[in-house]
Amino acid sequence: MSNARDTAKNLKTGLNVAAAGSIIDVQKANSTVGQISNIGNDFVVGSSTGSGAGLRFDGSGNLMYPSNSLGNSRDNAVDLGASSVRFKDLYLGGGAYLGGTGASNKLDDYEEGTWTPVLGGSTSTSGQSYSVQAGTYTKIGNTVNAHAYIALSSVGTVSGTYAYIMGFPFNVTNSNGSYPAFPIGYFAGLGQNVSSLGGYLNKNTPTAYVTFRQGAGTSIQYLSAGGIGAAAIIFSITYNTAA
Amino acid sequence: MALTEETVQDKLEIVGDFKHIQVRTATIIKKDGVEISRSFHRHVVAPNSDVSGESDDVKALATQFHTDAIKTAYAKHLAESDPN
Repeated sequence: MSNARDTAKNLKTGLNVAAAGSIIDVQKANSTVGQISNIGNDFVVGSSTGSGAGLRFDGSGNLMYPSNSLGNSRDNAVDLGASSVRFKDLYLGGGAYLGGTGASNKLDDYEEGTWTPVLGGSTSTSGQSYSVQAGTYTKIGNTVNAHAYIALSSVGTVSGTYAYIMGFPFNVTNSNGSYPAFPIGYFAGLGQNVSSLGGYLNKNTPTAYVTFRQGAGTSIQYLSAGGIGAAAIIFSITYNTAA
Repeated sequence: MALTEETVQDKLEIVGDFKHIQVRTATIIKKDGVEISRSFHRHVVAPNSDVSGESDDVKALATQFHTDAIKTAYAKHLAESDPN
């Protein structure tokens, strides 16, 4: 043990040991309850009771991980917080591995926000006005949950073989398994008689087709730009995105 | 006490084969210069999008990434996925 003063006259105490192991034992009634230790070039602090619960700080590896009070690893054995004694917020610049350590187990993004849904034509859309044009989304990992309420007060000039819903907050993944479909739970004011309305996002685009039936047992048809009318629609969709 | 609001495009992402530009616009509320709130709005700029109303940064990305080859490939993709 050594004592010294730095250039600002601050007293500094040093503990210098030659071997790995405990540097300071903290005892209660002559029983060790905690230790400050070293192992390799790492610093360790922790409780020595039971199997031990501590943290090993590896500055070279830019990490700290659970160990016993002497720095021996305790993989998948030590909790962070408890059901009635929780940490508050967790700030991560990266992600969290849940249920495994593979890339598929990594939750690397969470975001809430808004988007502006547009109901237009596949060839052109201009001069529209809306009484309601609102969208919200929540992105969890690569999964997007989007909700929209659109009510056109003026359809403006739209043209095209198809009616498109545009403005989605994220692009859809490029996969044949990525034609996410959705029912349209409310609709009114269409320029076409329909009995049910839905749609699906086209893969590798931020654009959805609108589909409808004219009656029970009839086949699905695609709504055209001319069928939009003064439509009001409400829908929700879940889809995957690449980023 | 001064409340201010500013809008910035705080994330621009180029994604997928067709270089879609994902734009995140943040609305930041500050109290005496300290951020107290940040909310997000999203949109995507496709290779066939009209970028005349986009920011200079997005226009620059569109110029860089939405080349004629990409626009042609995207048009082909849309044609191939046309239900008719």
